Amino acid sequence: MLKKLRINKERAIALNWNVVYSFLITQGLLMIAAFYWFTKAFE
Amino acid sequence: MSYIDWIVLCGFLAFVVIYGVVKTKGSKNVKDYLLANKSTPWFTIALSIMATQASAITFLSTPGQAYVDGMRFVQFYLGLPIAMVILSVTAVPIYHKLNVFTAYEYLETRFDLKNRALGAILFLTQRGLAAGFTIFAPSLILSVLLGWDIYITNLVIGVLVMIYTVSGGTNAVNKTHLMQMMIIMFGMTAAFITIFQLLPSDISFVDATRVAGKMGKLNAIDFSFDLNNRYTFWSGIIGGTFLMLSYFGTDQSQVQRYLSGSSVKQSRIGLLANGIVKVPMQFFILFIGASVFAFYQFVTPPVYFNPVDENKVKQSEYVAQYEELENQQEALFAERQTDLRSMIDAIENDDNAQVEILEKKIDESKEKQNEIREAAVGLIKKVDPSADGNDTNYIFLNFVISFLPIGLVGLVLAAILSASMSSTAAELNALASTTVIDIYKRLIKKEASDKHYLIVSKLATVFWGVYAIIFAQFANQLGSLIEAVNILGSLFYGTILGIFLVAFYLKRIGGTSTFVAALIAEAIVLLLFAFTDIPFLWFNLVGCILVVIFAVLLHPFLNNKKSDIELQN
Repeated sequence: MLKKLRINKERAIALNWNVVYSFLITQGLLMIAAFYWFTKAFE
Repeated sequence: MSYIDWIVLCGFLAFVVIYGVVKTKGSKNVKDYLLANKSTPWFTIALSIMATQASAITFLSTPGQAYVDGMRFVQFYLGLPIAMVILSVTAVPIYHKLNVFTAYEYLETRFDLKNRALGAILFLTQRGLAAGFTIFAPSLILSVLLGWDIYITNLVIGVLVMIYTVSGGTNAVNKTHLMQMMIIMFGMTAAFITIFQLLPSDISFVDATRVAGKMGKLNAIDFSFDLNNRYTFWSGIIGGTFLMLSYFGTDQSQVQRYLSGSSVKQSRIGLLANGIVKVPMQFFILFIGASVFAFYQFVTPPVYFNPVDENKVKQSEYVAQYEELENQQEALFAERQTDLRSMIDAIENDDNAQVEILEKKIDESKEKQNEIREAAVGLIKKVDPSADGNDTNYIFLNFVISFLPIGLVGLVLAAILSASMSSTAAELNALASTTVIDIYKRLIKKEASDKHYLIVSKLATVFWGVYAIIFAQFANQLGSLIEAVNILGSLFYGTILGIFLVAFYLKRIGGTSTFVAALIAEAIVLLLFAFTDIPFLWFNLVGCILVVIFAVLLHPFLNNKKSDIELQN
């Protein structure tokens, strides 16, 4: 039981980091889109 | 500058130095001195990382860069969030697990002593010179403001930084970074708001931004693939990622910031927070530069932005000619005002044909302005042949001194000096760590007491401070400072990153083949720099790939035992 809990906890932590990394990459892509819009809007 | 500005500026500088010394005195051992006893929380790490990268050069030269060349420089930072994710996954857990003091210490664990020494020496060479630039930039401000000799100002600013860095080590660097970043953001935001308050009453924020856009200054993204174009989306996302990977993953001045984290988690969050904030911050600083450009479309700018060079001409026999150029520029700007306002109306009414006609007219006016400027530079060079004719670094500074209200001038100058001091402090701290841990303790005196290494660490900080001050004396003739620093970095970073990439991911490759590959790659990069026109960001990629390719090719011929040990691990 304890072992199972530990594995679940490890997975939860791993998943958390993946969410964080995905968030950062998404933010980067959105930022590039925003910069592109900015360039075109004021061209 | 008024007395109030002086009080704000000197008060803040004194506060930082005293705070840095008092709050962090009494380091008991080397770990305490060089790694802040591994107790730093993530927000201090994030701010410290940002403060280390954002030197005075960032705040002086970047707005000037946007004024002259537009906002395309922001693309240089696009690879940064990607690099932060890669490093959080790979480098951070490895460094923490091995409990290393420096990034190069890991190279000996993975390869051998010669790779560690090569990494450390490449870092010391490159970062030692760059520390000179970070001292030089604020000295430039003081020399322009006070008319001081730049050699003396280099010395004053260098010594101020050395006081708290030598005294408190990494802990002092991190703690002062926190305050310095706060004053930097406050100062820059205040400057930004003031620009738009100073515009003529009939011109709004949006109008000014539209004018800057029509004149090509808001070109943040350029998707064209052109090897001759220094800043494009592709050079930023590919070359920039490699540069940022190398800078944050292998440059001790940054590695030391997150090595001081209390856990892997704290270090990771610190790096990732930097990834989230850094690009918008650079965008904001560049936008300040573009806004200064927009402001100077409605208020006549000086013909030349360096007041020291300008004063020299005004006190020479060419004074009449220079004043004639000033009058011509004044007339040109008065003429342009009508066209600018007509263009703003045409944009609002979506009258594209009229916008095009006015754009052409304004372009012609800008060409005339360039001719006036070139004539002025000609006069400046006649008076002082050693003048470099590049005033990019003075544009923002000149605006601050001429237009910001009393008190705010002191605050912005405090922000700029804070930025410089924070970067220099981190650099001296890292140079000292590498010298002591990778060179002195490893190669010169292996066995000694902790107290001995603590004293040597402090002496090494003093040594690098003096070295940086001396180099700063020669930094005057290198054009845009921000580019000079990045070019210098790009010549070495690719090779260093290549060594680390082989170490992290190619477990079969041994130390000797990596070492020889790194030497060949560095020689090729330097030759390419000397004999081709390849934009500098690509050197990061070229150097890195060359190390990896040569290491793989040489591996069958230059195998050594260390790789076998590593394989078993």
